[in-house]
Amino acid sequence: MEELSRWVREAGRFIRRCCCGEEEENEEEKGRREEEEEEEEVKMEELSFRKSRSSTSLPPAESDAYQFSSSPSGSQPHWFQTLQVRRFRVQRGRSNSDPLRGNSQPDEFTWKSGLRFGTENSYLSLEKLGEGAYASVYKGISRINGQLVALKVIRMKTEEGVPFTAIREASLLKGLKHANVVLLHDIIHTRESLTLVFEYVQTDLAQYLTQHPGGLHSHNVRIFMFQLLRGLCYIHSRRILHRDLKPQNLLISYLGELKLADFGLARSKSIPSQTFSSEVVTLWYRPPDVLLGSTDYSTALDMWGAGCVFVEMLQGAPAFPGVSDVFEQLQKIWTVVGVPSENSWPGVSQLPNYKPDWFLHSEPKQLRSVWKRLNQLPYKTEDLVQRMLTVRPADRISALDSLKHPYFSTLPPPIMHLRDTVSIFRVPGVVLETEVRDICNPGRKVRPSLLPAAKCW
Amino acid sequence: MMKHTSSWCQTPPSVTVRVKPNSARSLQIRRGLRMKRANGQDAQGPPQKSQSGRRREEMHYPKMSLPPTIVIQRQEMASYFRLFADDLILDFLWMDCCCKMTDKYLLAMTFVYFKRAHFTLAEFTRRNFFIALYLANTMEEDEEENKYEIFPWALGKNWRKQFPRFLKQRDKLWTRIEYRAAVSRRCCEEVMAIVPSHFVWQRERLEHHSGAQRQYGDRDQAKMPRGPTASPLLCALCNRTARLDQGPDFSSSSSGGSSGQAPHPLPPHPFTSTLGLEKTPPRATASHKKVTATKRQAQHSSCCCAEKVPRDKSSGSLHDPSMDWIGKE
Repeated sequence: MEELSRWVREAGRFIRRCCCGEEEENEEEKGRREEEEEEEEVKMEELSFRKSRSSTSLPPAESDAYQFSSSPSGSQPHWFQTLQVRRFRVQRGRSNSDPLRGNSQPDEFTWKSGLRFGTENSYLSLEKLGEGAYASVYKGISRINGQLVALKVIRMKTEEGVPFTAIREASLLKGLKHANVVLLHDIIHTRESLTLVFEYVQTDLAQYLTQHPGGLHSHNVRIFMFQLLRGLCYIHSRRILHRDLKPQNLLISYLGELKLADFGLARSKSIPSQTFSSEVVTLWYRPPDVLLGSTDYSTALDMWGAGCVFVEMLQGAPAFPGVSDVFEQLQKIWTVVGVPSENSWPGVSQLPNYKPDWFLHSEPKQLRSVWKRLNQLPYKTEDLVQRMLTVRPADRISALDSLKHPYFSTLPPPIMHLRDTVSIFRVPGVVLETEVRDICNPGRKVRPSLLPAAKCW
Repeated sequence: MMKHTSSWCQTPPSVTVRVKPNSARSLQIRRGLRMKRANGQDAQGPPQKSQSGRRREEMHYPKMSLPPTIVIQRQEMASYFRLFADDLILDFLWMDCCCKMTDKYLLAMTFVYFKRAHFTLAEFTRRNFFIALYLANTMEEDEEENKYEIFPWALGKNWRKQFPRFLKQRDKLWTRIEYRAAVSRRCCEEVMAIVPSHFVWQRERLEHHSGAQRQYGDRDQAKMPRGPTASPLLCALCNRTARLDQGPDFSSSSSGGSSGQAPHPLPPHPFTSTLGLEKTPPRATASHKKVTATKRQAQHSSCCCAEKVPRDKSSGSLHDPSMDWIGKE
């Protein structure tokens, strides 16, 4: 460590020299030269990397440290590749802990390196995390402050410019600052691509569910649900609909912080009478009113999806899975909640896809008879699920009301009065329990990923 | 134009409207505040406005805690309204009689983008209007195809070749507004409240054109933009509906004189009968509209000032040609 920090001090000096005389302008971030020479680039690379590692105050043998090796490879033509990432992680996910999260110091720490936000060379891309329809996501590191980031690189088709999903996602996220909404750090717009720089979060609920099959610890379900609803409550209060809730889009940090992500389908519903798409939300998580072709939907749309996620966490399997079209999906839902009628849902027969003769008759069932896990839990759990999976959107519980539901009364009371940006894990006593089942560590009771975390944070 | 400019000079020098920050997004608020400039600086013309604006933001960012405002200079509002005296834009609005891409909220957003982009008055152009309007449609409308109609109006006959460049310009505008394309309803309403009776703020979209209306999208299979040379399609849903009601509404909201002669600046019914025509409406009509629009602006400038309370003394004296209108989330 000694040696490392000395090295870093030197590095700092080197960088100050590199960006000669620009220190005064650091604040304003103006008049930066655009490009630096390639050679310098490479050096800076290493520096920033080492610096970032040192700033974590992690012991060298710490979980995080083995994630990267800083040996630059001469054979790689592009500077992005100068850092090699060794991929011997056992679990993708929470083992590669973010060095700066949860630490009290790092936020104050900034480099005097002259790098600025909004430019490509301020970030170093480490490894590809995923590939989507119009974007690739990379794990990266900020050369400005050493934080780990997720870089969502959106390729631009020459004809279409920036996809509207990206315009919406970035525009909406720019205005959202909440502990349970993924944080958009920066936007880099070049001719060929648009890169959204997000905070790095280790895993997502889908992976977490895979890793811990058969349903999650009921305490953890409560903690995740509280955060999901807290995030929804926040965006709904700003009249933003997420419109694509599903486990894949709920990020989970090593601590168990849950964050809403992927706002590509999200939109603001602040302005009245704009046009809406009915092609929203992955089929399994789409509410019955939208499936029935309702022309108007609002925040209740996301609440249905949240209810589905709730069941999925308890059961370890999706609530209404395995279908490929709207009518099958409706039928799946009706087998649990019963086919709605004009009595139970005034106006339902007016909806375009309401075809009572197409639906097999079914009566509403007790949820605990459908989802067995509810049998083992106090009644209030089932009650909240019931209120979220209410077919008529007007009767569905809101995010705000669901946070006040008795289901959450066992959580420490201060959790209800946090500022938007404060994580619930700041409240004493809020910790994730160890999941009973873990496919990566079948024989162990304690998730190894939490051990170093407990030491450091 | 001279006439109404001079009448505006007599208005109270400045107005500050504070908006409660609760519904607003904090980032926008802070930035908004910083858009307020000393008038001296404004008079010199704003070189690199967006740059200087950003610089100031960064410096004050952590300290700002005042409620959100944006300062709207009177010339800016006037310049924006002047766009609606442009024959092509008027025809474009008239063609969109269902307000599918030019309803009042989208038009208010367009203005908010002009502000966020720190456009100089010289940049209040037809082209920028179409670009910003397209961006507003991109943000707000899930029905993607309606906005393509903007291409032929903005780009002319060759729009098929030129639209990629147009989209690049939209992206550029998006960058210039610092990627903040989300505009709240409240913000739109504050903008409209400045001259509430202006004809563009009467452009309400009817309910049957909102919501998730995929069903009747196939009514018109070939959804190619029609452009200025073709007549608008008859809208079966709107055909002779609520438009008529807007006439009386409009004249009652505007104070005094002009109400009597107020032919609706976008008169849909005289033309709905001529929908079969292949040509755009004659120019004469357009210029007639222009006159009314201008008059109306002049008139409302004073009434809008009267109902607002001057509070911000820093904005200058009575001779100050600017007036701060503030409306922002």
